[in-house]
Amino acid sequence: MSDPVSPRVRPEKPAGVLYLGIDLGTSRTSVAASNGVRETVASYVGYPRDVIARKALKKDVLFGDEAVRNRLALDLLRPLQGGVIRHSDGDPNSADAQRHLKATRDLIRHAISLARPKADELIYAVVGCPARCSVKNKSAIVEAVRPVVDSVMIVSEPFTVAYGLERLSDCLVIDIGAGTTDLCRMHGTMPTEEDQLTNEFAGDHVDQQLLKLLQAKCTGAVVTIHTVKEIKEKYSFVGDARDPVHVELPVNGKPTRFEIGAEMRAACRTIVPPMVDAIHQLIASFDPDFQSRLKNNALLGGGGSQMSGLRDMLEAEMKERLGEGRVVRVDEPTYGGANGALKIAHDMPPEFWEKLS
Amino acid sequence: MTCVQNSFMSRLAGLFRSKSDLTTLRQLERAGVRSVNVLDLGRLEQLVGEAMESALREALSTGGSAELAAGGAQVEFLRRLGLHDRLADHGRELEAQSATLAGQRVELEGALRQSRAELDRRRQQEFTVARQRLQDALDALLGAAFDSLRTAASGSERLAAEVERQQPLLRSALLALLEQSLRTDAGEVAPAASGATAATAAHEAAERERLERRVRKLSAQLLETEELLARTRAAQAEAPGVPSVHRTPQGLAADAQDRTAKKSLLAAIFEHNLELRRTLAEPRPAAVAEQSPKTATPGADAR
Repeated sequence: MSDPVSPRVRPEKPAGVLYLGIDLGTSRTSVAASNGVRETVASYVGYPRDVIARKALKKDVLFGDEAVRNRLALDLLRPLQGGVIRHSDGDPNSADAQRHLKATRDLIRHAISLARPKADELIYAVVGCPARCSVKNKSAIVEAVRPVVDSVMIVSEPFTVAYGLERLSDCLVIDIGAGTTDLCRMHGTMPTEEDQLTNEFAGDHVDQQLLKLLQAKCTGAVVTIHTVKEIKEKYSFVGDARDPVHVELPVNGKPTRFEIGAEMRAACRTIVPPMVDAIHQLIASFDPDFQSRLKNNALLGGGGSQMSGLRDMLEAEMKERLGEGRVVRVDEPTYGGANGALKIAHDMPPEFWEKLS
Repeated sequence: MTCVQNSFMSRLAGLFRSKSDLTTLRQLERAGVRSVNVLDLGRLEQLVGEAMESALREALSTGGSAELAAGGAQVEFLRRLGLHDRLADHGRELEAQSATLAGQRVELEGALRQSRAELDRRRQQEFTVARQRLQDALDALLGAAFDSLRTAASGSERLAAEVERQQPLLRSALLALLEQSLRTDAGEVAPAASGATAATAAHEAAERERLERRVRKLSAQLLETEELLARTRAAQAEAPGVPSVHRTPQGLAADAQDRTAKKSLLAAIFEHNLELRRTLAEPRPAAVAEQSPKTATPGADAR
């Protein structure tokens, strides 16, 4: 089976240095590069099930939306769960661990190939990982990336968002991904374990809740998790005031219209209480003299931050529980992590890269 | 000329519009897109025109088909747009197409070989049958002729002996002539002499002709596909990537905002990664599961 890109051979006389910032997400993998290329791909990897499928698809491996579209002919893998490589916490030699590690490798190689690196340039990459990712998980990511770059570093995802926005002190980053919601308080030094919290009440959790609610509400309708994800990406909201949300789902093969506004709101709201608890916990345990600054400098990023009304709801909850609160949504939720990782890669002293190569 | 060109361009613009999908700013915003690259129709028209011109020039100089010109234009268009992924996909499609054509050609060549072998076998059989028939006829004729000679020479012992001596000599000379004649006009004499019908022979010849035409057609298609594949590969090789804006390793700028804080943060990141690399280098103890950091999980008590 061919790889999307060949293992990297270090150029003898590099013509330049390509810095890459990679946000290896459960739902999407985004890459920002110092050649101006920015690309994002859904974190799905598919391998043709048999020779016939391979002949029809004319590919050994498919990625992203193309893999999802052809899923019936593929062994479809979503190699990341909760922001880390599936099964990477267990026995690394198990078949499942190896399968998902290979899929992650292929996905990263594909993401890097999307950045269209020149063969004769050095590639230095910073990869964002969940705030409280284990050493084993981080090692698995490093192992997956190393063969295709010249040097790689792993950095906590919410930290990359803050660094990219030059918000290194007195701010609280809330990064809502598909697998995890990561929170990190920034106070001018490297965040420690106590400064970061991760929970799995994130996009995938909303999908599961919405799936259950739609199965109960839409009698006879066939709903898959892929459909739910698409619906959520179009209509997600948490506020009270809303327009009706009409969707068409097949009932006995016939497209049938359903109004699912209440279900959508209920599912989206399930991630809010754990998020507010985490905000509360990080602020309450911080130096009292600086708590107010944190409360008024919350940065909301990640794909989940695009839920309509979420910013207002978080501010309202913070005012009620903490007395005050100001939340700002980052400009580019999809690329916030990758942009920050790219900035870190660029700023990192060259000798550090050399030592890790 | 300008009028024709304008008409072509306006048709092209209409075609692009008809094939485009409409999206809203809201949908783009939901997809996390804050800025988009804009390629105006004028530029697209120019690219299509350039690609077609280049491909037609190539096709006309080599006497290629319309399909080759169209395929060449597609490759050229993708190359000019810098769509390397699509070029790679196109290359894979051409590889598959080339493999299919080569497979079909092998099958047809096999059928043609079989048909030719069958023809050779049948001709040999016809030759043998024809020779036997003519030999039998010759023997009958010679036998009758020499029988009457023997009757005429019955009064002379010398003449009778001469007749007996001449019969095998004449027979073998006539058989040699017959053999030579059969071999020279084997295609015509042998089938007729063996009794094979002209219709069967014509049918088989037509079948072989069809097979030969199909092999020639497939070979031409294969040649063109391989030419397109070579062109696609060349276009891919020409696209070695987008160069970085940096020729040398960078680092924190001297006038960077919060330089001191950033410097220490970057050093901490480096130290952490160095430690991680040391961990990776250490041999793994078998089946020792690392304790994962505590993460709130749906279904568990998150509070």
